[in-house]
This record gives sequence, C-alpha cells and structure tokens, in this order.
Amino acid sequence: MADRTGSHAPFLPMLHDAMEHTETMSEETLNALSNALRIPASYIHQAASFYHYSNLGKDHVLREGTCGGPTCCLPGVGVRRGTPGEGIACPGLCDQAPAALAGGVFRGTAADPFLPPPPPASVDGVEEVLFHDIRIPGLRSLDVYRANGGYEQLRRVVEQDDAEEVIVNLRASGLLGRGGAGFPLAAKWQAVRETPGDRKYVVCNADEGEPGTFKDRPLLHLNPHLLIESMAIAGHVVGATAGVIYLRYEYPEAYDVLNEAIAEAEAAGVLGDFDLQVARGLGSYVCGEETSLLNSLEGLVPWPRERPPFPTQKGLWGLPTVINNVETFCSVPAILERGADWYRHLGRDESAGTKLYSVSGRVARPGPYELPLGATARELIEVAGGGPLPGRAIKGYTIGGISGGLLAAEHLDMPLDYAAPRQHGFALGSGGVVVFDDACCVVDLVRTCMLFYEAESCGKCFPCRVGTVRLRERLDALTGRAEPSANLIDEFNEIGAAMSANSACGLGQAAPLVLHGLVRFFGEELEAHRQGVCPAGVCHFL
Amino acid sequence: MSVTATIDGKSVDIREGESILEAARRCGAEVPTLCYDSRVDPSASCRLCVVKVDGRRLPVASCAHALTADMNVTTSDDELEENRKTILKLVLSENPTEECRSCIERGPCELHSLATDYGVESDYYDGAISGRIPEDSNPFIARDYSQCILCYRCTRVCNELEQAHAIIPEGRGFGTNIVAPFHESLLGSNCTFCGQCIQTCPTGALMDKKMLGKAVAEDVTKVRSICPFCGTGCGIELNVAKGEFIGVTPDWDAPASAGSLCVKGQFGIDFIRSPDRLTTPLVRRDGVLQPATWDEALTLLVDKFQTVRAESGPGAFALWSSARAPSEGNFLMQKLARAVLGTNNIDNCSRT
Ligand SMILES: Cc1cc2nc3c(=O)[nH]c(=O)nc-3n(C[C@H](O)[C@H](O)[C@H](O)COP(=O)(O)O)c2cc1C
Ligand code: SF4
Ligand code: SF4
Ligand code: SF4
Ligand code: SF4
Ligand code: FES
Repeated sequence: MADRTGSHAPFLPMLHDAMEHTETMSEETLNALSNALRIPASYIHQAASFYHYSNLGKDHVLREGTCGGPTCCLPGVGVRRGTPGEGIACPGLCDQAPAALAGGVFRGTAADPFLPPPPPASVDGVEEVLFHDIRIPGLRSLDVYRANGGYEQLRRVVEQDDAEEVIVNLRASGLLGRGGAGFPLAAKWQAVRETPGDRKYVVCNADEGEPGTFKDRPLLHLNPHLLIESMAIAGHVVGATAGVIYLRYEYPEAYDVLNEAIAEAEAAGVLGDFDLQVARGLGSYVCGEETSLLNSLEGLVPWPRERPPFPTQKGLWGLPTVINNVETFCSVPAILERGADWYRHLGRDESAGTKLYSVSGRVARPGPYELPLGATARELIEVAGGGPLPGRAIKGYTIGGISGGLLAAEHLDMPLDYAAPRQHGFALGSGGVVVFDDACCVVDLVRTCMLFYEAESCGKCFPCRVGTVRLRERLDALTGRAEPSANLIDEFNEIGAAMSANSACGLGQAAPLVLHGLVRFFGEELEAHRQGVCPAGVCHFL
Repeated sequence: MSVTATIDGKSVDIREGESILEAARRCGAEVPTLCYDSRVDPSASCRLCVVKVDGRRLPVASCAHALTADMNVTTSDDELEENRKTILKLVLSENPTEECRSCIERGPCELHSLATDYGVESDYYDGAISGRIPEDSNPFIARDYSQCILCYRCTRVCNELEQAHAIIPEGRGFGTNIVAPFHESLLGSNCTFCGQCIQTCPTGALMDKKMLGKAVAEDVTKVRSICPFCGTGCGIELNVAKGEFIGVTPDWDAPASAGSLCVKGQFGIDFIRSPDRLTTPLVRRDGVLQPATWDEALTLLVDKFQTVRAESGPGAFALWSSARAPSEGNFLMQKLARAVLGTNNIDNCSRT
C-alpha cells in the first residue's frame, strides 16, 4: 500500500488503493488499513461497508447499472423503477439522461459530458461570472488560465495581506453559500479566522450528490485552477495552510484534472505554502452534508455530527475548518477583481450575484445555466432550458435538486432565490430543477425521490431510517405496486412531521418536502391514484 | 453573569459537562430515550429526547447537547409528544408484532414500556421488517435482530466501553445490520462474552441464551451478591426462579463495577449446581483420580510435603490460592506457606 502518511485525510485514498488490489475486501486488507491508520478495524469495517462503491462484503466494485434518479426515471427519458436497490444513485448527468454506469464509466448521452451550453442571450441581464471563461479551449492548463487573469487575485490577496479587507468585500458582495443552506460566506470565513489555532483547514464540498444537480461538474472538469485559486485565497484569509477537495466518486475524470492542475500550480509556485489535496468519495449522498463529509475524511462512519460545535470551531480532525461548495468558492476571485457592488447588482431585486442552475427532465435544452440569482423558474425552464418538449405542457418542477420541494406549473413565476420558496416551506437548495410534464406521473416521480432518500439515508436516526421506507411503501401503494392503506394522508402528515422536526440532518428533514408538494398542489392527481387511476397512464394498478 | 438556564420554566444551575437531558432529568423532567446509555457517547439516534431550545429553528437532541447559560428549554409540548409518538410507531413497525420475549422473560423492555406509556400499539405503519438474524451457535448470547431498533447501544458499549470491538453496524440506512465483522458467529470474533451488549439492549434483540425459556419475569427474584471469580468483586444479581438459580444480571449500583461484568461473572455462575463440582477429595490411585476420605487425602498430603521438603527444601513449594476462597481461607493458606512449609512462594489468582 502506498505511503499516505503525508495526507491530510488518508482514509479515502487508502481505501481506494486497497480496493484496487482485491476484488472483495478481505479481513487481511481491512486489518492492514486499520494498522496503517491506527483506527480500530471495527470502525474501518463500519465505514467501508457504508459506501455504494466499496467492495466490502461484495464480489466486486459495482461497475454496471442504470440511473435510478428522478430525472432518469421520467417517462420518455429512462426506465420506471420497480423495487428498491435497483439502479445507481444519480451520477450528476441529468442533462444527458438517461445516465448509466457501464464498465465502471459514468456516461449520459452527450459526446462531451462536461461543457455547459452557451448562456441564453434572451434572459434579461445575464452576465456570466462562473462560466465566463469556461468555454475557452485549454483553460485547464495553468498557462491559459493565467493568460485570462488567473491567479491574479490570489497574488493580490497575498501581496496586500489584508484579510479583513477581503472579508469586508465578500460581506458587501452578499455572497451566500451555494451548496444548499445559503449561509453567508463572509461570516463563515470570519468565524474561522477568529477561532484561535495554528492549524486550520479549508475544505471544498465537491460531492454534488443532489439529484438533478450538475452545476459544479463543469467547473471541476474545465476550470480546476479557479477552484484551486479560490481555496488558496480562503486559506490565506482564514490562516489555513492545508486544503482538501472532497470529490464525489462519480466524477473520476475531475480527480485527474484537479490533481494535474494542483501539481502544475505547485510546480509553478503560485500556491505558496498552501497544500491542497483531493480525496475521492466512494458513493454516498449524505457525505455531501458537511459534517458527514468530515467524518468520511477521517475514516469514521459518515453519519452527520451534532452541531454545535460547528465546523468553523471543530471541523476536520477537530480543527477550525472552512467548508464551502465549489460554486461558492469559485465566485470569490471575480468579486475581488470587479468589486462587491458589481457582483451584488448582478442579482435580481434583493438577491446578490449569479447562480448556477441545473435544469433537467422534460425540457428541450437541459443543462447547467448561469443566471441572475432570483431568475424565475419560467426563465430557467422556458428560456434557458428551451421550454417544454414539443406538444407537451409543463405540469410542475422540483427545486433544490429534489430536496427543496415540489411545485406546480402555476408557480412558474416564482423567483428561484433564497426567499421566495420559503413561503411554501421550501428552499432553493442547490439550484437544481427537475421538470415534469403531462406525460409524467407526479406520484410516481415523488416515489422515485423517496426511493433515493431511502437508499441514501445513513441509518443514524430513527425518523429518517424508518420514515423514508414507510413513506416509499405508501407511495408504492399509490402507484399500483401494493394495496393502499385507508388513512394514507394522515400517515404522510404524521411521518413527515416527525421527520422534518426530529431528524438529525438535512436529508431526513427535507425528504418529506416533495410529498408536501404532492399533497398540497397535486391533490386531484393524488386522489385519482387512491381510486386506482393514473391520469398520465404511467402507473399500472394491480 | 448568569450561570443558570431554564428548563420547563424552572431555573437550573449549570454543571460542567452535563447534557440538557441529564440536567432535565435531574430536575424531574421525564424525557424519553431509547438510544441513551450514560456510559458511552451519545449517538443521538432515537430522536425521542429532542427538546425545544429558544433560538433554535429545530428541536435539538438533548442527549447530545450541553446545557449552557441562559438556555430556555421546553421538554414537552403537544408537538414534541406527537412526534415522539410517531417515532415510536415507526420503530415498532420495523419489528414483528408477536409478543416480545424480553417482556415475557425479563420483564417489560425499554421499548415496550415506553410504547405503553405513550399508548402506542405495534400495529401502525405496516411495512418491511428490518434486521438480519445471524446463524450463531455461541452458547451465551441470543441475537434476534428482527427485534432490533438500531439504537447502536450495543455497538457503542462494545467498542467504547468494553473496547472489545466485536460488533459494529454494517451497511447503511434501513439495511444496516449489527454484525461481527467477517464472522457469522460471535465465537470467531473479538467478542469476550462480557454480556454488556445484552444488558444495554432496550429490546429483545439480545438475550442471555442460558436464561432463555427458564422462567417468566413474574417468577424471578433477584438476589444481590458479589461475583466470586476474582478480586475485582463485581456486583451481580443472582436471578432465582422457583428456588432455582437461572442466571446473572449485573448489579448496577455495585461500587466496584457499576454494572460491568466479564464472561465469568456474567455467564460462569452456573457452577452452583454443576454436576462437575467436587463433593469429596480425590486421590490418584493407579493413575486415576478416585474419591477418598478427608483423612486419607490429608495424610497423603502431609507425607508428600515432608518427603519433598526433606529432599529439596522449602523453596520447592509454590502455593496458589483462590479468589473463590474467603479471605480467612486465603490468610490461612499463606500462613501454611510461610509458617509451616517455610516458603514465600504464594500467590493468588485475584492478581491475574
Ligand atoms: C444530505 C445533504 C447533502 C448535501 N450535499 C451537498 C453537496 O453535495 N454539495 C454541497 O456543496 N453541499 C451539500 N450539502 C450542504 C452542506 O452541508 C453545506 O451546507 C455546504 O457544503 C456549505 O457550503 P456553502 O456554504 O458554500 O453552501 C448537503 C447537505 C445535506 C443535508
Ligand atoms: S436524517 Fe437520515 S441521513 Fe440524516 S442522520 Fe438521520 S438517518 Fe442519517
Ligand atoms: S458480549 Fe461484550 S464483547 Fe461480546 S459483543 Fe457483547 S459487548 Fe461486545
Ligand atoms: S441489538 Fe439492541 S442494543 Fe443493539 S442496536 Fe439493536 S436494539 Fe440497540
Ligand atoms: S471474574 Fe469478572 S465479573 Fe467476576 S469479579 Fe472478576 S471481573 Fe468481575
Ligand atoms: S437519547 Fe437523545 S437521541 Fe436518543
């Protein structure tokens, strides 16, 4: 096994190494890992058995499968799912649906899976920030990146050495975290900066596990230096010299791209003493939850931690840690270059900046698009996404990938900002939008979503571990797979309430949201299913 | 600066390291739990202990958060109780509905007592049953994970408290199972059969195999005693039904052990009525141990002692005394060694 002792978080790289040597993880290999990492073998076993793509207790690593995600299971896109466990977790290729894993390679239908479509000129006030340079050929290389102004902001931040000024700027820009929760970036960096300690970490959340979300994908694959520069700036501002990018298993190409870019940047000496490494996950949605992510890096079972303490106080290895999403980090250099005011005014009304939205499902031009934060769902779907498929009418859409909620066509003019979805108890989340039309069955879609939550629930807490299964079973019944029970809506409400209030993390708290949307906005279609009729003709009743 | 907090309207002093749950219980609030065991780190799994804290958007797991100055905590209201009830219905629904063996034989288990308190039956939310039952021929621990609610008390006790690292949750979500890694039976694993997992389990998933089917809870009396096997002096309760000893449970109040036991105290006490116990001295005649009278045995001993002492001196003797003998017996044994045989070669198994 390679020597990983210099690694900031050796567990995942070593588990990957170990998997290369054996088809099935043996007790000897596990014990060797345990000895090398000085973690009890039982804990390594628990951690390694957790991931979709580990080979512990399996004949081999999972190398084949079709996507079981909400976009890929829509009629006309992919396969309607039967039973739990069928299909792989959404690999972030929803704009190229149906996606599949074949021979160990994740692919959709596109020839170039990474390039975002050009911005729609017709959306009022579109100015790309994150995707501004992304279509420049060869941008992955240090030379081309630098030729386009790359590493200038890092150089200035280091030269001027005024971290407070950077934070003031970022605060004025109004930049909020783009990974889901929308926490102000400046406040997070400030908190880590002010937490005493001579060792701190900067961690990038590149797990992008949310179904219907694929907006970090182009940045990771095509503009690696932008992320590297941004993380180095963060390191300088908060006083950290170590960084880790937690990259989802499903983006193996980005692993190579990032490592090559880091090596090039280091060789050119642009990173100073900032030491950046990449750790690849092994397939698990909950690992995108920031505290699960930290446990995953530390080689513990990736159950979320209780907060407080927040990662800003006790993060990776108990040290103060900045964790941000790829998109959040990547917004920083442009703000520093062109000013907080410029950035802030790119957004609509009260919203600041631009947002990367992912639109997929039953639209003409699915893809990741950069629009002003606060653009409406209609703009994203009809203008950027090219509108409904010929002859079809949009029936509704999910937001936040699927974890932000579920809305109907009547809500198409809702701004996709942080505030508007809240009136429904929903959230913008990652900015992913899955569109469904009159050919689709909303009940079946909600069931597919629940299958996902069930498969990804970590199992730490009762309400989510059991609740996701019970909700999915009830949706099975509604979609003709079993006999429906009499007091279905009461059960939905009861289980949903307990999950939202009592679950230990965002997964269990958010899982009932699609169901709330179904009950509230699609009452008729739901009622029809209770009578054994699927208006879209998707569900077949026993 | 204030060093108090408020729980259910009552002012409570802050104690270093005390969780909201512990503080609430200290001042008389009844907060339900299933995954809590004070001896190990909280896993915050059952989510029954959640309470409302002013300023927090969602209720917090009181077991996993410290009570801090000026906190205003509500441990019970309609919404909290409703959600607790739902969670109980959910976990009950992952187990088969037939009557719980633990409730019948050991007395109401934590899960079902709580269900009774909340007026919740086990037939809500019909659906899949969780838990894979291993084929395990070990003689001590009955493992029926169809009864398991994945509270992770057994695995935390085994790993954190016992540091035996024998059992661990494997997998993810609803499909999680408690396993001994790479071993179907505990026999091949790191298990030391301390039985602590059985004692913490709030359901009938883990039971003392030797006690299974021996009695019903109403017939059992518990007699406080001390484990006679070694010098630690762990507190045990002898479980007696209809005049027969049927097994051991730990004495949680014992000063030396506070509920901890090892395999000997937990599972080894059935020597009381063992047919293997010696009832007369044995003397080896023609190479075979045969019953003898005390006179015959003692005379033989004295003869041999004298011969060995005359031939090789007192240093040839070594005496080993037993922790199962009373202190007075041990005292006399060392007198015999030092004053009669003339050697200091005497030790006691309590030291090992
Ligand atoms: C179940 C779950 C999955 C998540 N997955 C991701 C993810 O894949 N990527 C991400 O950036 N944030 C994800 N988050 C949000 C993170 O916990 C965290 O809020 C975010 O990384 C913070 O970065 P930001 O402030 O830049 O958004 C997830 C949260 C939950 C509850
Ligand atoms: S809510 Fe679900 S994913 Fe989150 S800790 Fe609980 S079981 Fe795990
Ligand atoms: S008997 Fe003791 S060592 Fe064995 S599994 Fe239970 S707690 Fe662990
Ligand atoms: S076996 Fe018992 S103690 Fe262990 S997780 Fe299951 S219910 Fe909890
Ligand atoms: S033999 Fe085990 S249970 Fe008995 S006193 Fe010693 S340590 Fe305690
Ligand atoms: S006792 Fe707190 S979550 Fe179970």
